[in-house]
Amino acid sequence: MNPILIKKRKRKDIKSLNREIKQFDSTSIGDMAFLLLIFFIVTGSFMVRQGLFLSLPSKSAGSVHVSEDRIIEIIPNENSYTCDDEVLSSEQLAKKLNIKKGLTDDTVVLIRMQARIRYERMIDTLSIVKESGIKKISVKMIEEL
Amino acid sequence: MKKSMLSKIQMAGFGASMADIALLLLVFFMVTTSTEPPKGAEVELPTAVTQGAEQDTLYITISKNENIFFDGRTIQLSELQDELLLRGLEKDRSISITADKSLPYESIQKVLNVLQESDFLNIVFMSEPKAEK
Repeated sequence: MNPILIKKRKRKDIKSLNREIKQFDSTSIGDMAFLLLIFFIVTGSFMVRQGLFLSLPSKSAGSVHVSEDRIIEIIPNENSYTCDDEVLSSEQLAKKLNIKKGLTDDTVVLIRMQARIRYERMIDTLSIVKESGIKKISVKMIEEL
Repeated sequence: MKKSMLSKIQMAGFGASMADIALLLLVFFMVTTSTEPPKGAEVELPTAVTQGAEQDTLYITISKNENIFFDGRTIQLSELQDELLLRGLEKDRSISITADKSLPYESIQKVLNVLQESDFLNIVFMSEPKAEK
């Protein structure tokens, strides 16, 4: 055999012996992942926070002229609603809003909140209005009736 | 002595795939979990037809005895405006108002006035979702 070839083969053999085996132990990563997983399962909650969205008008916003027939004025009372001088229940108010919305597309609801009326009543009113699909809502505080 | 069959089975090769699954589940939990907002006080929320509120909001809590908490810290109404001024760059963030349902509306209106003055206009009234009929 050619001595050069023998030398080359010998060098190759030495190289292959010196080659490092590239590997790492993934056990610790697995352990860490499981630990964190347990932490998130225990501390996390799937409860999505819920709420009613409302955009306030900017302080620099000017006045808007709206024709009277497009405005629905609602005054929430402790157990009822006053709308167009009628005292209504929640169901009656929802029905009335649906009828009004059918008549004019661009209906504006004006909620007049009395200062001492519970906050819950405003949320009830907002909820009914939003359910009816009316987008333009104005909330104003008034003195006691 | 006879060796059992189980001792002959090599328990190897599961580690990597187990770690993969664990990491996947971990990412899932990290994405889906929501941390409890800084409330400051326990309040009874009103019920309404709601929408899911975003996580990245500032929190104002108004307790039953009309104490105001901003991001979990108790503050006076006059201090709220200063706090909001300091956060002038965060005006696009919405403000979650967690207020007790029995509060008179005027105490909510006072807070809304401060928010409007400070140009924080996106409000979320936190509420319990209404049960489906």
